[in-house]
Amino acid sequence: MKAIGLTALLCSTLIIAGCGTRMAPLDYRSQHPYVPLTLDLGPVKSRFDEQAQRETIAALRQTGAFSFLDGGYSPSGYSLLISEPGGKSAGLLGALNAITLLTFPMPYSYQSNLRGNLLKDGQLLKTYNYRREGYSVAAWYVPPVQIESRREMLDELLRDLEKDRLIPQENPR
Amino acid sequence: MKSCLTLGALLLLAGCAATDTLPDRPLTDGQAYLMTLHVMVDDPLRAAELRNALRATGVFENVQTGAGKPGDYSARIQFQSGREIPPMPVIFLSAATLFLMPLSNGIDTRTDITLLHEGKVLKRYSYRNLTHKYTWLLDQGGEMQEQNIQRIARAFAGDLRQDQLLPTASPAQ
Repeated sequence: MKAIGLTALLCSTLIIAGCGTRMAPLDYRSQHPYVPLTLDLGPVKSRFDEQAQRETIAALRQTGAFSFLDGGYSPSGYSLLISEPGGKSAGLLGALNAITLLTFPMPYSYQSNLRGNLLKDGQLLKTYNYRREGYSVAAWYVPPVQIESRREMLDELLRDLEKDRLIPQENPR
Repeated sequence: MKSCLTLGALLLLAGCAATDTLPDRPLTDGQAYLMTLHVMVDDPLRAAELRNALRATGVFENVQTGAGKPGDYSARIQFQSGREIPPMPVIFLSAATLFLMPLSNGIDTRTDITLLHEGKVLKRYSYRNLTHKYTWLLDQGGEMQEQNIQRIARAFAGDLRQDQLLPTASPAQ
């Protein structure tokens, strides 16, 4: 009887608290922020999209690389367009796993893409493409691999932006 | 008895109006437009909404994205908005009544606006608006966010017109 009570308590805590699917902070850190630029993360189609975009913006801000992040398209100044074209996730297998209340570790192959387009005065300066692929399992106790992939690719994008020095810094070294 | 029922039904259907701490600023029609303002908002997800609210005031000839060219007037906006939701037990209690029990909802927005010309700060404006509303099953308060931003945009447009820091646009040929 005690075991059932403990299991029920554990399950209800997990349901209320969630399973920790937030994106961890990026590893990249910068002491010299770029000049103000506009950031476009694509259209928001659902609350999940909005949540994901808020997490991405918060992670980018935490790096200290951005002094001012505006939204939308600007005909003047620097713009960074970040999108996740294509990609593959659990799909139908994941949906079928709902029969087991997402408890069975259903294996699936995934592919995540991230594209960063850097523009100056509306003209494309450079396109950065990143890809992650592999195998994972869909279950409620396994964090979604796409979030970690996005984190790694954003990290790589920021390192490449620093290496290329296409965006001027607000207070140059 | 009938009038009581009618009144009750009307209250249930119409809901209670949202209240704002920032008073609505009346903007008189028929005045010349102020020059094009380049608006930068430090929130990629809400920037377009705020620029649209400024356009909707009808005070500016145009509201554009980015810092603009030398000689243009621009506004840098620091925007912080947060939701005030009731504690979880109250939300669960409302859910148990199928959301017939009203919930107190609020949006607290702080906006700091710096008006710039040729890199020089002309004036700083600061606004705070707390929009509050009781929501329930048939009235989820979808208009709150729009109303919250509109009040701030109208207050800023009214102050700019009053201060006459922005020249009026030359009439169209």
